[in-house]
Amino acid sequence: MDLPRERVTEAVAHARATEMDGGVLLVYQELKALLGRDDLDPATRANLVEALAAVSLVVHDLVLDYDMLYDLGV
Amino acid sequence: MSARVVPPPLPRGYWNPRTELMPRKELESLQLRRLQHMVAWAYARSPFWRRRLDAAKVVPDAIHGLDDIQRLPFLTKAELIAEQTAHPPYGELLTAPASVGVAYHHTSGTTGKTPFRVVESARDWSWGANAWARALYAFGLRSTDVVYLPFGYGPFIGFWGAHYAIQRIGATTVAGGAQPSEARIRQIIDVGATAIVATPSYAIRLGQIAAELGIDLASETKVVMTLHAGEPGPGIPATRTLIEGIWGAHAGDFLGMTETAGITAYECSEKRSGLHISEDYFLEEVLDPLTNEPVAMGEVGERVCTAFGIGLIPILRYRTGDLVRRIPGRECPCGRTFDVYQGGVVGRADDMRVIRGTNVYPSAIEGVVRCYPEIREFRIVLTKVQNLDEITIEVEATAGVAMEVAERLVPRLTKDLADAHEGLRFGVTLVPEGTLPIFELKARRLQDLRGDQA
Repeated sequence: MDLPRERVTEAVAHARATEMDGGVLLVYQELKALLGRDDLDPATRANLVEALAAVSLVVHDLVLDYDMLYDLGV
Repeated sequence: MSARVVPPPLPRGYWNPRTELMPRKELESLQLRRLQHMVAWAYARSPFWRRRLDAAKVVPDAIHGLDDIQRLPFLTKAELIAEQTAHPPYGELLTAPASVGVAYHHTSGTTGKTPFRVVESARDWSWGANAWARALYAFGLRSTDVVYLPFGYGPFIGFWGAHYAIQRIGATTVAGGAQPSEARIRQIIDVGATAIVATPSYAIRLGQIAAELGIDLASETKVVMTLHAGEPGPGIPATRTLIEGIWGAHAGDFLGMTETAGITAYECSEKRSGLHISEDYFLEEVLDPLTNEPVAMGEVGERVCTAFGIGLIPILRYRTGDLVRRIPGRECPCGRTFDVYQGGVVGRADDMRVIRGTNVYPSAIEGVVRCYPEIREFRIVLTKVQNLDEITIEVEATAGVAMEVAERLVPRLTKDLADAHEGLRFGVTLVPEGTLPIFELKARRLQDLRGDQA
């Protein structure tokens, strides 16, 4: 099998992208970065997983990005 | 039943206007990107999909337009189950270790003995709830609602997704759980439920039990919405009329399946007897079940589903067996650009039977039987007599209906069934109270005994 290809980004430059969209994307990227760390306590990791699952849906629904997040446990 | 109770109008609104109102061209472009990504993802990470796509000589970057989906092989439930039988529990379908899963479910086993097993990650499961939330919000559910779920909460996915969706909208869930119907009815009244989630059959059954208890659900509950999935119910006009009369509420129809976690198509508050397809979450084809060619808009064909929302078990070109009639979204005044399945699921490819040259669908029979409030339950029995197919409808009278009244309806029902089926001769048999099964989840009313008699 190929190397894991986790990110299949939509890379959408949405025509109606707003300031709010940018804020959502920042939160999303920050959550992904945090979940990439290996020093998280169980409680911190578990709740960040929930948070990223939720924010990823916002990103998905606003047509900002389209990631697979399984390698982050999400 | 008391005088007709008219529920208040349903509120109008969009859960996610960005995609629900998206211009068609933009929507199709979005679908293409998601299709390309899902095919690439499945090929890269799932051994099952790698084998299938290699066998079909499809390379992921060969998807240049939506029509290229026709290059992908069909997927059937039998294939999924065979794969899981060969490599239990999940087959080689998964794109990541099963340990990322947070929820297990399986199919109801309606069309086969072995259920298909699914495992969802936190995001997949959350997406399924979001897809349900969009649907329930479109029909009119709001944060002020109290929703009763008379559902057993077992491994069948059933209304689990609805449960989490209701909480996501901010409404209150009341889990009916494993308790008798009578206790559930009393709880619906006690908690002041404004909506219930149930199969159409069970919503009708609750009405029958309530009537036996002397309770009029329409006037003695606060229910203004009954939300249905699992069977083609509100899409059958007589069934919708019956449910709405029992509850004095708006009956909404929703279409989903275990394999893809969330709701695929939903009725909006306009109630035009059509289900909007969540086209940003799914790519739906409608094909002639015999030739596998796309049918024209407005013609009946089999629904073939590709899901974009879940990636742990990719579902590409899945033959659902649901027969649907697709019409443009603009025919609904709600403003959504998502196309519509007119009348919901109009039948099942695997439920259709040919009786002496006439096509017979259980949903069409239900449409006739439900016009008779004197009938509590029915069953379709197919037999072979002297090499001829025979169709008999067993009917059980509603409690309290006098025998002579029930007997008088038999010839009328026989005629109505024949009139609805090109003159086909039906047998109608009254059976004693308590003979026919009661269904809480998917009803199974077709008993085909012809094979047993061969």
